[in-house]
Amino acid sequence: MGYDASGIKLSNIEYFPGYAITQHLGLVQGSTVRAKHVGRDIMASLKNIVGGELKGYTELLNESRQEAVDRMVAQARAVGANAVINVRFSTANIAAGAAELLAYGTAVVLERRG
Amino acid sequence: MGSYSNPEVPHEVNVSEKTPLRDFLRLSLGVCLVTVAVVVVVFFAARLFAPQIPFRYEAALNDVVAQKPASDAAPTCQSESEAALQTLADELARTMELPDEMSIRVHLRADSEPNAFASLGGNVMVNRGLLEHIQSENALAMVLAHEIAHIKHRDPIVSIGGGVAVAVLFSALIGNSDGGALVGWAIGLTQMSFSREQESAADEAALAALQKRYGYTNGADEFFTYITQEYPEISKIPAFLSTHPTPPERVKQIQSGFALTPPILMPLSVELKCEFQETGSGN
Amino acid sequence: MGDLIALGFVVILLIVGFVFGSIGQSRHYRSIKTREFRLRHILLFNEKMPPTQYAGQEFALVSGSVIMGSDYFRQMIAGLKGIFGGRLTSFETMLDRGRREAILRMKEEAERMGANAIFNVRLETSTLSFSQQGNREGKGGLACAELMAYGTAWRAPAASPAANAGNPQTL
Repeated sequence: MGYDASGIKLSNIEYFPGYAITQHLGLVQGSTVRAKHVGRDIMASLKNIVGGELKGYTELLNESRQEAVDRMVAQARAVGANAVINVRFSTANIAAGAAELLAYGTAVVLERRG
Repeated sequence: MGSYSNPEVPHEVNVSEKTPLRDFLRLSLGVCLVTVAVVVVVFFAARLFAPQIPFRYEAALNDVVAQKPASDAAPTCQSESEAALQTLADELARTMELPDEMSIRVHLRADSEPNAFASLGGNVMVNRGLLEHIQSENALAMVLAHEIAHIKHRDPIVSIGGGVAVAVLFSALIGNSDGGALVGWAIGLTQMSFSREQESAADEAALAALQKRYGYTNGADEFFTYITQEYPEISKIPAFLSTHPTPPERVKQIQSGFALTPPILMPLSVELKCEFQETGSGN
Repeated sequence: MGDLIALGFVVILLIVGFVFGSIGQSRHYRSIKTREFRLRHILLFNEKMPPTQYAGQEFALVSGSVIMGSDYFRQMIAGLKGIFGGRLTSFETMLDRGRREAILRMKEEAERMGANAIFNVRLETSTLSFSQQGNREGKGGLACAELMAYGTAWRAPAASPAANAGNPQTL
């Protein structure tokens, strides 16, 4: 079920019917810079002859994004939040073969009403 | 509150790839046509403008690309023969009123094939085979004057100009760092391919020079008569395929201007007649 | 001779790229269409406010991503199009496949948590200069892009099972 956030709820929206935000705890973020390794690169080059999904890269990026989320969640837990809302992702190329994955959002305490 | 639903959307609107193979062929054809058009335009533009290139640049270009003349096992009388050839060529050049900046440099090559050709920068190559197979100075003068006329008409630079321009264009486009090699290759490929018009013009100028120098043109046909006899297969090449007028044609053309009373031809000087040692074929 | 071998190599790559690229593409589209049909009960909106039926329901961030590469043949077409201009139809197809795949993966995640709608769906495309030295100079390299979809999935309200059973296309 989505990202493994171990008890912290994640969402990219900011209005939750049936819930109340009792505390807004500020911006939290997690980021990671990952480089591919040569083996994957060679496989991807071969795969690029016939086209289609470059699975090695997809996995790599998913792992990296999970790590960015983990770090964001760690910040959220540290400030005493139980949810991160309005989460955004961004990807940036730092250099050839290296990408930064960034996740950020607002740490809040969310309580179910009624 | 309104209802929420997701009716089917037409996904095809975002994709318009129908005939990738036909696209590819059309695009490739387009690229080929554009390339050919550019090459043709550059080639002929370069030939058109080549005669405007100052002669000293032509000489400089030759210094860059010229192959080293084969100097292996030159006969002892090589330098004397070459000097005598040079003297004759200089006299002819004066007769032909070459522009001041042009100078002729004759090289004698240890090649048994009877031939001579004009090269970039006023260089005329004469194979020793030529000297062995002609008897009169008149015949030699005809050949030399013919090559000098090519140089005067800027035929070598015109002949390679197109190829060099195309080579330079491609090395610039491809980003080939080895542009010099490409240019050299283009020169090698296009060298000595003068058109029939250029050849006829050179023959005409050479005959005029002979007329001026000796007072007659008799004997000018000797080399071409020899070629006709020794290499009959050259004469059989259909005229439209050959760059040179066929030897029989040239003989006929040359003989049409002869004086009616055959004068006594000039013999080849002793230096030129120097007996060469067999030095092996000129490769 | 070396040039001839290189040319032959390119031709082989073009043929392999065309044949396998086309097969892969139609197979992928078939898979996309079946899965889209199967997952059509999960509705997508990029509105930020879920309706009040979902009051108090479970929600979670769901996402799907895929990195798509173009085949050699279609990259060549794109390269040639770069000279003449015009629509890069081969890349359109690649990105369309990738985006629908990413959405499907997001929906599959939502399905696992029993969601029937995803709100605030965001689609992102990023190019990746992952591979090959050529990319640093801006030429050559792989034509590849990451397509990502993410949003907040909401578990179906238990209160209205009848409505869902009757018309899976409506909440």
